[in-house]
Amino acid sequence: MAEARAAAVVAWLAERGWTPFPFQRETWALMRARRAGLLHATTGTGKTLAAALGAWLAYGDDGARRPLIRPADAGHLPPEGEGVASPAGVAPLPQGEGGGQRPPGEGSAAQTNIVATASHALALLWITPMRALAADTERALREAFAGVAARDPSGAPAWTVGARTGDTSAAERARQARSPPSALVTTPESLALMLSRPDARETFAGLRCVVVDEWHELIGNKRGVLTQLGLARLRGLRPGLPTWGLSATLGNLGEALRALLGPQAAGQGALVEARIDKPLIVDTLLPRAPGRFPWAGHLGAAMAAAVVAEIEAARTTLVFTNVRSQAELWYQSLLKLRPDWAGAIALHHGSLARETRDWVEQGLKAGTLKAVVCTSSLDLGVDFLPVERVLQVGSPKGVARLLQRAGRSGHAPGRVSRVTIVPSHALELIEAAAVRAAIRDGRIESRKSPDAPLDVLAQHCVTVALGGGFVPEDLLVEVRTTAAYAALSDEAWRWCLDFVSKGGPTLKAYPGFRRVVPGADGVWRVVDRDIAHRHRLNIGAIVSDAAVVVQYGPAPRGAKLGSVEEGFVARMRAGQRFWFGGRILEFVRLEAGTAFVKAAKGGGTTPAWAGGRMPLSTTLADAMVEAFARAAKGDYDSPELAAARPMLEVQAKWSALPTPSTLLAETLTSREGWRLFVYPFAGRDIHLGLASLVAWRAARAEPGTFSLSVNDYGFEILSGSSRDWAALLPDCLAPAPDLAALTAEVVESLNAGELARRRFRDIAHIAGLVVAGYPGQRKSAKTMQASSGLFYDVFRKYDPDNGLLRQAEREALDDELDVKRLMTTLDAMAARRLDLRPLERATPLAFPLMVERFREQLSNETLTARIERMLGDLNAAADA
Amino acid sequence: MKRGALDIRLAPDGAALTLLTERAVWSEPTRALFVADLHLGKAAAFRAAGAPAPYGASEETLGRLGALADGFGAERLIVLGDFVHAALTDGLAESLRAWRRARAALDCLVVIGNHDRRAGRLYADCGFAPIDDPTLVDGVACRHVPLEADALDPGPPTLAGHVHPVARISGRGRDSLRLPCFVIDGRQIVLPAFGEFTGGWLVRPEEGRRIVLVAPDRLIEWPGSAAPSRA
Repeated sequence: MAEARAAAVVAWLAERGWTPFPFQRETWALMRARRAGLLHATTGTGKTLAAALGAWLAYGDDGARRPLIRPADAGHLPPEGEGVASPAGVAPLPQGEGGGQRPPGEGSAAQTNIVATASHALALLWITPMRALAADTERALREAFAGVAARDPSGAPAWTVGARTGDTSAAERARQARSPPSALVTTPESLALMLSRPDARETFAGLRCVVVDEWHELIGNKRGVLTQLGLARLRGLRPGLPTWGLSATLGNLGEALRALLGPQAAGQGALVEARIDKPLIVDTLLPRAPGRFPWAGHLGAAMAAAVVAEIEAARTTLVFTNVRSQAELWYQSLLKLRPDWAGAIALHHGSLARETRDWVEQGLKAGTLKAVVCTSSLDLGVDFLPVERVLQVGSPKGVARLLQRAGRSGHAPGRVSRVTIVPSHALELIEAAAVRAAIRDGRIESRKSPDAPLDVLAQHCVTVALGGGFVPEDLLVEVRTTAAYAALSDEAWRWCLDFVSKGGPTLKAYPGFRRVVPGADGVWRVVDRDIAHRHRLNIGAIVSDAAVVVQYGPAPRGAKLGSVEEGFVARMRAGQRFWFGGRILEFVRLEAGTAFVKAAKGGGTTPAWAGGRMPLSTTLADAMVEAFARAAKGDYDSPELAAARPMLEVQAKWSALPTPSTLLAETLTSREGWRLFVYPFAGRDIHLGLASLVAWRAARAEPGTFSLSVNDYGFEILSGSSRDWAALLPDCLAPAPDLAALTAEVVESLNAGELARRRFRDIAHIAGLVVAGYPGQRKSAKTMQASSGLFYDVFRKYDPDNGLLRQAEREALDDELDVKRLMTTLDAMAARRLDLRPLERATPLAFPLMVERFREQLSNETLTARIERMLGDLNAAADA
Repeated sequence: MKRGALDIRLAPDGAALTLLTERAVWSEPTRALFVADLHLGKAAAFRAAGAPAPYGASEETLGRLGALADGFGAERLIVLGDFVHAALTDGLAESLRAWRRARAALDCLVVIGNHDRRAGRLYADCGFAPIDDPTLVDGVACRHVPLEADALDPGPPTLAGHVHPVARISGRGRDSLRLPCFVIDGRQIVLPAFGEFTGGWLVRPEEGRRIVLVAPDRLIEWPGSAAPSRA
């Protein structure tokens, strides 16, 4: 039986010209042995089939829909475990998912008696991080299960496949409830939603295996924590349920496995490496005239022309950018140079309408597109075989990220993966040199699971309370099986229970508040239907920016093109033009969350989408310091460093180059105020902590208001009032005596800034303080943002010990301002000689910080003092 | 005139209305105090909906209102709508009655705003007289929802609320602050929200519009309209 099935798998693969990879055979053997594990690979294919077919090999009997005969016909039940070959001429079940499924039975007479065994059909749950991927995964699984079933001599019906995401229609959900598929593709949010249903236990009663796809995308964030809690719940419902993760290679695979299986079970988990020897080329597109390479602007036509040449030379090229607005700009530049490419090149990013993205993805699969300019929206997902080349415009940001993008090319057998970095300013040449060195040395980033976030836990408690209810002691045990909450304190758990049942700690309970209600039987449930409804609307751990739909109209209403941020539209006036999805649109008006537009000609602005600003990984930042150090010694050992040489020489002439033994700082006084630049090259998160700390120390010497900007190389502090940075700096950069003293200082600086307040926005949303949409009441996301700020203020004033406030502070301290690393960075900086240079104009290193638009503010002045100064500035401007 | 107050004449021959840093308007001739958008009970409404908002904001707001009315020796209080946020809870109704008992001589009128509709008849029980939006009181049109720009002329001086106006002031070092403000368009003054737990609508400067920012200790004419007020 099992051997016949294994033969069917091999036969099906052979028909497609494939032989199983050793890692696939290894995974199948482990899955058939009921083991759990993590399958990882740097690039390449075959992970999906390894897990999907492994599950089928191990649990094929369970997932196949077996007939349930009405009691009167019970005698006709086929023997356990033996499928019966379907007779010819039997029509598929009307609810069938297609894909070769046939109802087993003993002839047409039995047919009317066949009812799906609803409680036992769902055998495999497949969790994917992006709902856009669900349809592709569904298709791939269906094809595989149909293929192997057709070659399975036992004649057992094929596994059916369904998808359950935010896109799934109510009709389809109802169909799945009546007749569950054998395998269900879903997202972490939809899993939480299913767990919040009263019938959660029945839904998963026959579940045999869970696969988490793209685990590396989830592990480091709160969606991953939501997944960990969901997995723990599933294991609670189905003890011993094996979990498999599919992941790109990470620097800390052991930790990734631990987060997937939970610390107790991780010891028995297997790590399987999908080793496919696939040649990988990483290179850099160098400007033709290196001496004239801009260090202060962006791209420049020279690079666009070079990119056109590269695209021309390959069959299909993916051009990755880091942010959506950059993708829009690049698409325009390419079309400007090659108008004849209209229709042959396309644009793909997360704010475009689903239909547009589908069209682009189809074109990529069919090989009808020459190039697609895209963002991380195409990082994941099915392979586009025709893609030969990948171009990365701007900073690669991380080693693993670049490898992932490289893996999108050269998928056909025997082909090479090639990624080419296209620097958009001269400092990125140094990043390119650094990332190549890191790949050569096999240095790849680690990703850590967040530590016990209370907002996600509070949400989970309400979810479980809805999904049949919970007994606190049991749920605590279950929650502690996850890596994220293994060390959850009794106190934090107590707080969480208080929060969902009384709205706050026992001493200050809110009588009007009743989200989760402890029952007389000891089971905690949600009894209010409105609260249940609102919770389900609000499930998830992503807080998206307020978005407005872009649509042709208003009369007649045309196609929906995608979405832009509310803030962008708010600044628009009727008649203004902007680029979107590669076309010029004219803004007509905003109406109930929809921005109506019409087609236009000419030029326009490009919307900026916030978010998606990814920090340079510390692995890459370290490699970059090394590259700088080589250049500082005159060792321009790579084409990239050689190309950056003119910029480096300007930096040396106007100021100095950073070296391992010095700490470079620069000061510049301009009309806007008194500026300080420091370059520790410690990554933007640490720089944010350092900038806050230095500004706070300067503010303690004399009250003030500061504007801070950071990037991956250093930070800038801008003061609106006069500061003698040269005199202040030694004290401001002094190491702290110990961690406690430093933490206290950082907390003080945090209270003077806006970091914790911004952190609170997401926390308030996830914990259910503010809701994106109230039933029967359109409440724009903008209102929600304002409300979370208000909540922050009223909590600070009236309930300063609130656990969520403390979480906001802790998240800011741990995630954004890693105090331990801050301490070691301060020590390391103290060991270097301070090289302070007064500037006459901004240097190549200073310029990007100076023009940075996203800035932090820190102030310990009174409102009155700040208003006085602003009025003084205004009066001075009026007198001038 | 005390520091942090600004006299506005909405009609050349009309009486002065005094804007206050307390986010209220005082009419000396009629000894009337105007406030808008207190949104009392908002936190309780959130709690009832399952969002644990803390206690204290409504009591604080009511306390400030009492102190202000007492300090001026006001004879009449006119709330320009959204006195409460949602249907009155027993606790809030009791607070309102107590507040009223302490000021038996004060005449209290409430323009029924969009949020007040849910409070229903309870206002009368608590000693606050509901009035329509708009109602002319001593020659001043009291509204909740402000008049649109094209409806501004002609008519009596008008006070309104509803939109919770705020404006932004900025200076060197990329410093900027959001402050509540009064917006004066022709014969109409829109008041900032008096409540604690309220958001804001960012007002933009327009031709002929005066914006008066509310700082903790003073009122500031938004640059361009006139010089800052000093006592």
